[in-house]
Amino acid sequence: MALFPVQGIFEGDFVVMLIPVDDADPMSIVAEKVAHHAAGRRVAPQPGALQVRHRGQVLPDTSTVIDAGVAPLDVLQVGYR
Amino acid sequence: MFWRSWHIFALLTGLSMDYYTPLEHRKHSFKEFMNEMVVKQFMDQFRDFGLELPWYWDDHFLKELDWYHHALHLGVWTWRQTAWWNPDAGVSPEERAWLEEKYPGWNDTFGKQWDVITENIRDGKPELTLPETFPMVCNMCQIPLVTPAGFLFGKLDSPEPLIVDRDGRRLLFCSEPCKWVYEQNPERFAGQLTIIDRFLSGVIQPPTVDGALAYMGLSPEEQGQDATNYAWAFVNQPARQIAG
Ligand SMILES: [Zn+2]
Repeated sequence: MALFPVQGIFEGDFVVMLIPVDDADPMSIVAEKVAHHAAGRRVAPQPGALQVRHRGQVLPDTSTVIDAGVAPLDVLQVGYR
Repeated sequence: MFWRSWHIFALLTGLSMDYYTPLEHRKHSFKEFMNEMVVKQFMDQFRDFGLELPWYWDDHFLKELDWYHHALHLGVWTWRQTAWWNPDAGVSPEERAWLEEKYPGWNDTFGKQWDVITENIRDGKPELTLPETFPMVCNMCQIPLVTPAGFLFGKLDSPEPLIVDRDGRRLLFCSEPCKWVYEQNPERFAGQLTIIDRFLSGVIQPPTVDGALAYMGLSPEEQGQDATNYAWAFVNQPARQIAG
C-alpha cells in the first residue's frame, strides 16, 4: 500500500489532472478516484459503469495499479463504457 | 521565441478579449485579432525576409487559435483561488451565443462543461466548481495540460499529453512545439521545476490544494474568486423558489 500519482483524464473533460491513487487500488476504485474530479463537476454524470484505459488497453476492473503495470505518472483515461 | 510567447499571449490576451471584455466593447474575437493583426504581419515579415514559416505554423499554431485559450480560461476560472485577480466566467447566455458564433463548436465542447458548472451553481453547490486536485503542467511552457480540450474540439489526435522519460525524470509536454523547444536545449531547462514537480517531491506541505495556496503565499483574502459572485449563472433564470 503506497501512494501512487497518476495522470487522470476523464472523457469529456478539458484538462489532465494529478490523481493520487494507491498502488493496491483495483481499477474500479481508480476509475472512481479520477471521476470524482470531473463527473458532476464539468462532465454530466451518466448511468453505467466506468472503465480505465491505459496505453490504449481497457484494464480489468479487478486488476490493481501494480498488477496492471502502471508506472508513476502514466496517463489513465477514464470514461463510461 | 515565438512558440512560448504565443502560449503566454493566449493566456493573457485570449482570456481578456473573449471572456473579460464586456460584449458591447468587443470589436474582434481573439481569433480574428490574431489572424488579422498578428498572423498576417508575421507572415508578411517572414516573406519579406525570405524566411520560411516555423514548422509548427499550420498544424499546431493555427489550429490552437480555435480552442487553446478557451481551455485556459476554463482552467483559470476553475483554479481561480490561485489567481491574483477575480476571473470573470464570461458565459452568460448572450456571451455564449457570441462564443458559438465566433468559434463554431464551442457549445458542444466547452459549452457542455460550462453547463454542468452552471447547474451546480444554480443548485447551490458552488463547492463542486472548486478543484480538489491540480492540473498537470507542461514542462516547457509551465501552463496546465489541456490536451483533452483540443481532442474534444477535434484539433488533436489524442487527449494525452506528450511524455519524455529522460535521466530518470518524466517530462510532460502540452504540444509538439513545446517538446521540440525543450529538446533543442534540454540542459538549459532541466533545472526548471513545475509546481507539480514541487508537489511530488514533497516541497509543498500538506500536499493538498490548501497546502499549495499556502506555499504560493495566498491567504484566503488574496485568493481569486468569481468576479460577479456567479451572477452570470442566473441571467434570464426565473427566481428559484426557496423550499419550506
Ligand atoms: Zn507547453
